[in-house]
Amino acid sequence: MRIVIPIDDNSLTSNVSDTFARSNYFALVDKENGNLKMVENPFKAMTKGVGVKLFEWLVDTHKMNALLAFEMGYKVQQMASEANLQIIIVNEQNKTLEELLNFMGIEPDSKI
Amino acid sequence: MNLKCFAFFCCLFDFGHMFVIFVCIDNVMARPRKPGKIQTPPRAKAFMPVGYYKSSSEAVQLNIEEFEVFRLLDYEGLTQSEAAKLMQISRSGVARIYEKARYKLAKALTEAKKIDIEGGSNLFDNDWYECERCNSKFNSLESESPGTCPLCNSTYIHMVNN
Repeated sequence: MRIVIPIDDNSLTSNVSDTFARSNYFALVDKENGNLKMVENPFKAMTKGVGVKLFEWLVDTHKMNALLAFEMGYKVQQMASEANLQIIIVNEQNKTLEELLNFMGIEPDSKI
Repeated sequence: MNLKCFAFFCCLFDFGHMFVIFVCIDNVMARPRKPGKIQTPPRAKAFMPVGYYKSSSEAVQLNIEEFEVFRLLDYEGLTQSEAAKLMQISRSGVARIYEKARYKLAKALTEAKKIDIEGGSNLFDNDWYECERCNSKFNSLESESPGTCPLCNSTYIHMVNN
């Protein structure tokens, strides 16, 4: 399973972003082999239709099949359920990327 | 209406079949309301006022359908017909639910009452589960239970019911 995590800045201690489509960076995590890649959000400055473009970019280019967030726009949710993707709504108490990676059993230090 | 008129005329001439006729009238009653589709379960289960507490028995019950309509119209800024399309109910149905939701929220804010978000006739797109280890909620992609949490692989999961 390849999971997208929206984060505020590109470090392991970064908080998970409050919004999905307008977060600054994304952590692309492959749960099977523990690979972790951080990419900048290319659509951040756009005012309209960010969610749709971002969704296509993540799913078609990066082949992600699971979205993790606190909150998602209705269009992203609609597209995700149509494409039969896994959606994970995390709880407020798990706030940093590091904590989420620990839950997945991934040791991040060796992979960066 | 036609059936009622028919029943009335039958009554004039035939008292023996009155029972059958009244059963006919009973069948004309309104059909049950269709539940609206919900995208994701709400994040919080309830809201509490600070500084002024009422007992929880006096909480305002906002059901999940009302929450979803309120979210789509006021948070996402959709029109009523767009929201109706998304929830697969009629436009006037959305308006009715929205009115109820706004009254309940205004009541809770004015009278400083707790707001419970639960219940109601609702229909999720997929089945939703909650993990008891990492407290995250997730949808199941198959019709049966996924068995493990996709985040932490814990087997302690339960279905998010109404």
